[in-house]
Amino acid sequence: MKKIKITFLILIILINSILFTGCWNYREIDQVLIVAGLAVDKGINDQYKFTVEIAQISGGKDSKTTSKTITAEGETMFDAARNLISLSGKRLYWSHAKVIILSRKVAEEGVEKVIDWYTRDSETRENVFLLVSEEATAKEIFDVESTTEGIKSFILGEMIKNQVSLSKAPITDILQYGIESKTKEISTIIPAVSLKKMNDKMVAQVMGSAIIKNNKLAGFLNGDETKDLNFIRNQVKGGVLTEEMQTDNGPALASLEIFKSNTKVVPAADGNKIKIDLNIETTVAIDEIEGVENLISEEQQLKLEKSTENTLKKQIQELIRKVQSEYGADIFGFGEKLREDKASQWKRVSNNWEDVFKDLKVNVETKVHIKNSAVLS
Amino acid sequence: MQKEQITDKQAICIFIPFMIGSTLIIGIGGEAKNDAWVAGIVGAIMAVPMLLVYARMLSLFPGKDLFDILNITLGKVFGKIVAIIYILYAFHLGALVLRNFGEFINTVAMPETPMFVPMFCMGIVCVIAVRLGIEVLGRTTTYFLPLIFFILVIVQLLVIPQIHLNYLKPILENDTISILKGGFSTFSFPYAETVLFIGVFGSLKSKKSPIKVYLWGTLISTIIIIVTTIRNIAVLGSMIDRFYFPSYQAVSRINIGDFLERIEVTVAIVFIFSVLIKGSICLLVACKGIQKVFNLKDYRSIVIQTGLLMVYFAYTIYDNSMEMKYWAFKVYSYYAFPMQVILPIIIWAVAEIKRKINSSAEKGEAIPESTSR
Repeated sequence: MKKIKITFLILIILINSILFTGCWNYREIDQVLIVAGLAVDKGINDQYKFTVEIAQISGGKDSKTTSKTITAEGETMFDAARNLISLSGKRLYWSHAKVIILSRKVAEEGVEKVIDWYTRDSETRENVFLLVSEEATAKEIFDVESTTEGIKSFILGEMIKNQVSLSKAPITDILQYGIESKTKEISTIIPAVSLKKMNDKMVAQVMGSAIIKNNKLAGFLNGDETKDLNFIRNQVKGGVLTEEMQTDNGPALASLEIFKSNTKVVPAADGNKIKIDLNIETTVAIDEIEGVENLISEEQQLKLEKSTENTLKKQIQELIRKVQSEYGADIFGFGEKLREDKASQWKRVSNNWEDVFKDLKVNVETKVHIKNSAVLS
Repeated sequence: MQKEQITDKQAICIFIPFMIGSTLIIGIGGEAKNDAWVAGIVGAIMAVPMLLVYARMLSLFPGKDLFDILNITLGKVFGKIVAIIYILYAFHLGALVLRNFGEFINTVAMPETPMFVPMFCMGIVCVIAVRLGIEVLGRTTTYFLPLIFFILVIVQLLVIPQIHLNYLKPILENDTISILKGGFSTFSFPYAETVLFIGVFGSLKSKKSPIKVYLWGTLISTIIIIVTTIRNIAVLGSMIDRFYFPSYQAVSRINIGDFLERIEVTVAIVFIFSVLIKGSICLLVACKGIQKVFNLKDYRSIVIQTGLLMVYFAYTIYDNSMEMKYWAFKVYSYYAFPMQVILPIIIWAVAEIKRKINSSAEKGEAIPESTSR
């Protein structure tokens, strides 16, 4: 009896080991191409031109990661993505993609059209960063040499991620974009990428932001403007403020490292007029004073704080004025804040929010607190 | 044959995964958008009277299950007709749950694998669990529930950096009607689905009222559901009604220092376990019903057949996942209303009246039987 049982068990184990060896449609790593990034251009006949950067990992003693680009066209995004197979021979694996670069033309036509496939598909992940190319095409970002070794898309991803200590570009992934662009009449921003000459070679640089109004590209802001914008949007986590400082030896430039920043947007309504109160509180540390050795007195400190506050305030007011008059796009999230805090007011103005936004009165208050002066007194 | 019995604690442990089962997969309160959590609370409040009715029915007939109660109160013919309705409901609900699970696996993890495979695997486990009986189910859940709680709590903590509480505002932005509608849909799915437990709690060990089980179970699962819903809204914002499986999507946002990420599969563990419990309970109730209607000796003889039919039914029940969402949020509440509200109230009323008549008759004749009630 026991013998029968044992033989039976062994038989089951043997059958199992044949039946349950793995997935029937598995794909080995050498049979797929890992997509690192994607650039979308407009091709001929209004088609999408897809350029993917593919990570190539070569084995052996000194394994290297290099990259290669493939370009294909298609009527829709997914069509183009699958058309790539006819060029690569292998199926592409999308889960590790880090960036999507849109060309100016594609972004002007509508961003949502492009990203719908990406958010819908189950293999793609929604933590991929969106970028708009300031150059003529998006493809050329992949064509230039990279500053450091490695795969360009991953470097671009790092460039965006590390904006937390620079704040000169927004950090927008695809889901964030989806959430922000869902509210009617609210504009949003995505980082911009451009080419820059360095040692006679062109390199990609992530700096500044693209204004997306009603899902279409409306314009670009440069790096410094984006920093001010980040102050308004309460997304500053780090970065540098420069300010002229009066010392005993005459004026000198000081760099202030931002450690903490908190922005409060308070919408208020008196009667039918809506106004926004903006309170920015920033904690900084003096990290550089050009060519001064003497101690920083309390008086100087206060002066520096005051003058930084004023400069920041002026820059922010300028930016608001510029965006109001040039683009009329609410990239600051004032409308969203109004909807959240004063729903009844928002219902009243939401239909012509663009006009309301254009003459919106914004009261900016800035407060800068210097917490220390690094290791030098 | 000895009667199977479960303790109150085990009953609560079965109750919780039953409630959070497919609710966690497809979310609640679809129409109320960022007020879905309010809709959840509304649904819970709406459900309490019904839960009291269910508990009262059980306490009126201790040791009896739904189908015995139907037999006693509605008589042989009517009792059997209503019993068949409940069998179909349990069977259908089990199939819906299996289909939710299949749709989930098919959409997020294995798009190329036929949906039948995950559903069949789950169906087989349900069949085995039901064949082993309610006692085994009770003990299994008491062991697994701490793991489920652990996963839920850890995931909840890890997702904190992704939370934007301002997505919840403005609170009560949507009009009252859509919140009430969302509340009603939450009431019918999952709260009032616990009507099926009348078919199970006949095997409760304590002869006291199962009201404690119902209320504790509801309280704990409501907390889980509401917290999860708030988390989903706070992570996904206005995109929440675009995803079929918001919990999974919300958890996939977790990224701790580029190191701890893509841990949404842990949520799938919670799904799989609670779907197993929910499917098993549905199958168990359906089988017990068939046993009572056809006067079989033991329900175990028909578990395999019913279970397999349930899997096939789940396979053919919807055409695609769009239909699933439409059915779950738009149709289901109305479809289930008779089984969840109308019939229980009728049965309860009849039972109370019968009891009154009996007790007044007994008072006159002083039959000692009345102590058994």
